[in-house]
Amino acid sequence: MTLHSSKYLLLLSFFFAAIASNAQNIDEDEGILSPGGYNRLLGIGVGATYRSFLDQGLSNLTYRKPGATVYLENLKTDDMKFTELSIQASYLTMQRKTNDLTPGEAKSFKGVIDYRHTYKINVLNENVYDVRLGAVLSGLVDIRNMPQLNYSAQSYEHAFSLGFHSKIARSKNMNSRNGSIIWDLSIPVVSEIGRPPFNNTNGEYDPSYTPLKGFFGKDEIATFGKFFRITSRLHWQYPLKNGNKIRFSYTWDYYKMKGATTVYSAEHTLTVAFLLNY
Amino acid sequence: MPKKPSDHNGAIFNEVWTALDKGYVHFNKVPISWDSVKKIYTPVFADSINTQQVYDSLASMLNTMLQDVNVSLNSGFATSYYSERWKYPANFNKGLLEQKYWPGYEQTGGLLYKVFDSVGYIYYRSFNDVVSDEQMQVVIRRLKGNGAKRGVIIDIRDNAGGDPANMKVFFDHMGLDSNIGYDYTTFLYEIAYKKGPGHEDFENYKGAYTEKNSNLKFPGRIVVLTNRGVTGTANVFTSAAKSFNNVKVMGDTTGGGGAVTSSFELSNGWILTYPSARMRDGVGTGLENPIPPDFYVPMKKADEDAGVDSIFEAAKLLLVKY
Repeated sequence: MTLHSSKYLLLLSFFFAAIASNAQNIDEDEGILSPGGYNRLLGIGVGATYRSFLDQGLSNLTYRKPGATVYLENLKTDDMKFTELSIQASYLTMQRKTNDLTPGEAKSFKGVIDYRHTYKINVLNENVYDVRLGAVLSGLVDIRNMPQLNYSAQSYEHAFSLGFHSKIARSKNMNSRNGSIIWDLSIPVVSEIGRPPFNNTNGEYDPSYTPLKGFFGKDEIATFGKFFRITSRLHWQYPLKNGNKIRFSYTWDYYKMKGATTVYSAEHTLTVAFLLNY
Repeated sequence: MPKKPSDHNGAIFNEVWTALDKGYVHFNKVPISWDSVKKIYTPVFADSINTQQVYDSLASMLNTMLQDVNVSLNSGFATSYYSERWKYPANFNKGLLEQKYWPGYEQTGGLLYKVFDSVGYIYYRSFNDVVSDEQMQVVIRRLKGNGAKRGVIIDIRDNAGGDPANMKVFFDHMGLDSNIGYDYTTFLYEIAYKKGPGHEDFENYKGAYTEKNSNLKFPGRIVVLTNRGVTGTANVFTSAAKSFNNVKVMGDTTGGGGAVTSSFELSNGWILTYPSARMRDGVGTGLENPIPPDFYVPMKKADEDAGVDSIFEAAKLLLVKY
C-alpha cells in the first residue's frame, strides 16, 4: 500500500465516521427485507492494521508494521440463520529492528476470504442476546518478499480451511436506537495448507517451474498440530437511516503454520464499515 | 509470537551452525564432522569478543571448514567469500580485448557482440546482466546479418554467475535451427532438493530440460570460452551447454560453484548464504566442481604481449577451419 493510498483510506475512514455522528439525529428505520425475508447488508470497510510475522524459513527476526486495510462483506440475517461473506486485503512494506548496516524489509500481501454460516441457538435471554453457532469456510493467503535474501527471497503460506464459528450479540439501546455489540470467534479445524519447500528454494534453475506450481507444490492436509488460527472480532454496530448501519470493529487474527519451516503471524485491525441495506 | 532470540555471540554462532546443519548440502565433502566443528568453535564465541571478532571468527570457520565458493556471510560491514581464484592463471585480459578486439562492437542489453570474418563473437560479463528473449533475437539477427555463418564464440571468462533466468534465454537459442529439422528437447542437468534437516535428506534427482522449440538459433557451431573466473550460474551454464551437440568449451577449467543457493537472516541482521540443493550433470558429476574444457587452451605470454588473445584465436580457428 503506498503512502498516498493509505492517506485516501484514512480520509475515507473519517468520512464514514462523519456519517455515523450525523446519523444520530435521524429517526430509526428498519430498512428493507429481501424477497426471501432476509435482512441483507453490503458492507465496505477501511481501517488501520498492525501486523507482525516471524517466518523461520527466512529469518530469525520478527517484522512489524502498521498500515491500512480494506474489506468488503455481504451479510444475510433472519431469525434463524446468519451468513457473512467477507474479503479483506492489505499490502505492507515491513521492517525489523536491528543492524543498520544490513537493512531488511519484507513486502507482504495478506488476503483473507471468509464465509461464515451460523444458526441461532437459544441459550441466553433472547430479548437481549442473539447467540449463533456454525461453521466458517476460510481462505488465507500471505505472500512476502525479502529482497535482501536473493534467490530465497520469496515466501508464502496459504490455507483453505473449514472450522467452527460462534457469535454472540447483545442488543443495546443507543440514542433511542437498537444497536448491538457483537463478539465472534472463528477457529479452523481442518485445512489444506501450503508453505515453501525446505531451504525455501524457488525453482530458479528449473525451466519447467512456474510460480503457481511452486505455490501449490507442497500442499498438505493439516489440523491444529500444523495449523492453528484464531480470529476474534469485537463489533459495535449502530443503526443509521433506511436500515443502513455503521460498524466499528476490532479484529485479532493470529496463526501459526508449520510446513518445512514455521511461520507465526499476528494482526490487530481497527476498522469502520458502512453497511448498506439492500 | 515467540520471544526474540538472543543475539549474544554464542547464540549467533549457534544460529549459523544450525542453519548450515539443517540446510547445507555438501557435508559429504566436508572432511570433518559438523558436530566436531561445533565443539571446536563454541569456546571461541565468548561474550568478551567484539562484533568484528565474531564476524572474523565465523568467516574463518566457514572458509576453513567448508571451503565452498557458495557460502558467504554478509555482516553489512563486510562479506566473506571463499575463493581459490588467485591460485590459477587469469587466462583473460580484458584490456587487451578492449584495445585489440572490441573496437566497433555493438551492445544489446548485457551482450557485447561483433563479427570477426565469418565468426560471431558475444561477450557476456555477468549473468546478473539482464538478457531478454527479444534482445537475444536482435543479437542473433545482427550476427547473421553481418556474416557470422561459421558459428559463434560465447565468451564468459570471468563471469561469476548471477540470475539463472538469463541462462535460460541462452539455452532457448542454442541447438540447431529448426528449419533444418534438428530441434529437440535437450537435457541440461539434474537437481535434488533437500526435504528435511538431515544431512542426506534429499528428494530424488529431477532432470531439467530445454524444451524443443522453434526459436531463432545461433548460427552454426558454438564455442564457449571459459577460465577459472567462471563460477556459480556460469559454471552451470558451461556444463549444460556441453549437452548441445553443436557446442564445445575452450580455454581453462572453470572455477566451479554451480548451485542453487538460499539465504537466511540471523537474529543480528547478518545474512548467511549457502548451497541448498545438489546439482549434477548427465554422468553424475556435481556442478559445484570445476568443469574441464573440451579443448584446454591457455593464454600465452608471448601472444598477450603481441596483442593476441590465444584462446579467442584458437576458438575462431576451430570454427573457421573445422
